[in-house]
Amino acid sequence: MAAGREVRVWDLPTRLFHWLLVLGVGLGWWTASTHRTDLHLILGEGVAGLLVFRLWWGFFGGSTARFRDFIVGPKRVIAYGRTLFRVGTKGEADPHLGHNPMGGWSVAALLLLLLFLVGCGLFAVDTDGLASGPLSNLVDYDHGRLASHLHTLAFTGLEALVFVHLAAIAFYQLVKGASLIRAMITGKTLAEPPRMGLKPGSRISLVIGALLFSAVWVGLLRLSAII
Amino acid sequence: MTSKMTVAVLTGTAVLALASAVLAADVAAQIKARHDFFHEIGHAMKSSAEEVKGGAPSITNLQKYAAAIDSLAPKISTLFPAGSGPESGLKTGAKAEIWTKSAEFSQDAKDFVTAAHNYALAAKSGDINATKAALMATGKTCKTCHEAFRAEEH
Ligand code: HEC
Ligand code: HEM
Repeated sequence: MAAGREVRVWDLPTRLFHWLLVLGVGLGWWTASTHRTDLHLILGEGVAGLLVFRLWWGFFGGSTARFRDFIVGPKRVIAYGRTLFRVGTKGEADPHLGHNPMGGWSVAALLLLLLFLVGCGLFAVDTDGLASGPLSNLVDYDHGRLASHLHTLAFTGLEALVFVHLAAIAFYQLVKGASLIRAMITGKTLAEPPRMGLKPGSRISLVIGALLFSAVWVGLLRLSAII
Repeated sequence: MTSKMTVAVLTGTAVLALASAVLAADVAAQIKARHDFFHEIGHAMKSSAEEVKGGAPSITNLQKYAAAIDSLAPKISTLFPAGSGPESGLKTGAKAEIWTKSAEFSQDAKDFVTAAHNYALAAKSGDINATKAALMATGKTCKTCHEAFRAEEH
C-alpha cells in the first residue's frame, strides 16, 4: 500500500450522476412493480435528463468520464483480460487511471441499454391508453404498445447487466483487493504506481451539462402532464 | 375387432377430434374478439389522452371517442366465457381469477361500464374539466381490473 498515493479518479458530477442513476433506476423499478405510474413517469424523465447529462459529460467532462478515455480497441481489451486475475492493480496491462479497458465497455453497454430503455419509455403507451410516455403522441397506439413491450424487455436486459456490474465490483473487492465502491463515493483511489489524478472538466461545461439535465427533465415533465 | 366396430370407433374418434378442434377454434375466436375489443377501446383512450394533453382539447373529438368507448363498454360482460382463460393453452392474459373470483371481476367490469358512460355524459355536457376528470376515472377502472385480473407476461 505504501508505494501508492491517493489521487482523484472520479469527479463529483460523475459520482452524482452514478448515485442518482442508481436511485432513479431503483425507484423506477419499484414504481413500475407497484403500478405507481405517475411517479414512474417523473422518475424516468429524470433519468432521461441524467443520461443526456452523461452523454455531454462523456465529451466535455472530466478526463476519466470521457468516452475517448475509456472506449478502447480490442487489442487493449485482450491484453488487459490476460492480466485480469492478478492480485492488485500493479501487474495489470494498461495501468491507467479511470475505467479499465474491459470496464469501459461495460459502462458503454450500460449506458446504451439505458438509453434504449428510456427511449422506449418515452414513447410507451400503457394498456389503459392513458398513462403514456411524454412523446407517445408522436406514435400510434400499436407502436406505443410495442415501445412498452420493448421497454419491459430492455429492463430484463438491464437486470442482467447490473448483475454483471455488481459481480465485477465484488470480484475487484474480493480477489484483487481494490475497493471500487469507495472510489465511486469519495472520488479518490490509490494510484499504484503513482500517477496523475484526473483532469477535471471546465466549470462552463458543467453549467451547460446541468442546464441540459434540467431542460430535458422539465421539458419531458411538461409534455407528459395530462391535467 | 369386427370391421363394423372398427368403423364405429374410427368414426367416433374422428367426430371427437373434429368437435374439439371446433371448440378450440371457438375459444381462439373468443380470445380474438376480446383482444379486438380492448384494442379498439385502448385506441380511443389514447386518442382521448392526446386530445387532453395538447392543452386546447376539442370537445367534439372527445365526444366522439367517449361515445365509441361508451357504446362498446357493455359488451365486456360477454367477452369472458368459461374456458377462455389460461386453461385454454392459448395466448391470453386473462387470469384464472376471473372465473374463481367472478363477483369481484363483475364488479370491476360494472365500474368500468359506469365510468365509460359518465365519460360520454360529461363530454356531451361540453364541460372540459368534468370530461377530463371522467376520462381519468375511466382510466382508473382499466387499471384496477388489469392489476387484479390481467397477467402482464403471457
Ligand atoms: C373487468 C376487467 C377489465 C376492465 C375494466 C378493463 N380490462 Fe383491459 N383487459 C382485461 C383482461 C382480463 C385482459 C386480458 C385479455 C386477454 O389477454 O385475453 C385485458 C387486456 C387488455 C388489453 C390488451 C389486449 C391484447 O391484445 O393483449 C388492452 C389494450 C386493454 N385491456 C385495454 C383496456 C382499457 C383501455 C380499459 C379501460 C378503458 C380496460 N382494458 C378495462 C380486463 C379488463
Ligand atoms: C448499489 C449498486 C451499485 C454499486 C455499488 C455500483 C458501483 C459502481 C462502481 C464502483 C463504479 C465504478 C467502476 C469502475 O471503477 O470502473 C460504477 C460505475 C458505473 N455504474 Fe454502478 N453501481 C451500482 C449500481 C448501478 C446501476 C443500477 C447502474 C445502472 C442501471 C449502474 C451504472 C453504472 C455506470 C453507467 C457506471 C459508469 C460510471 C460513469 O463513468 O459514468 N450502476 N458503479
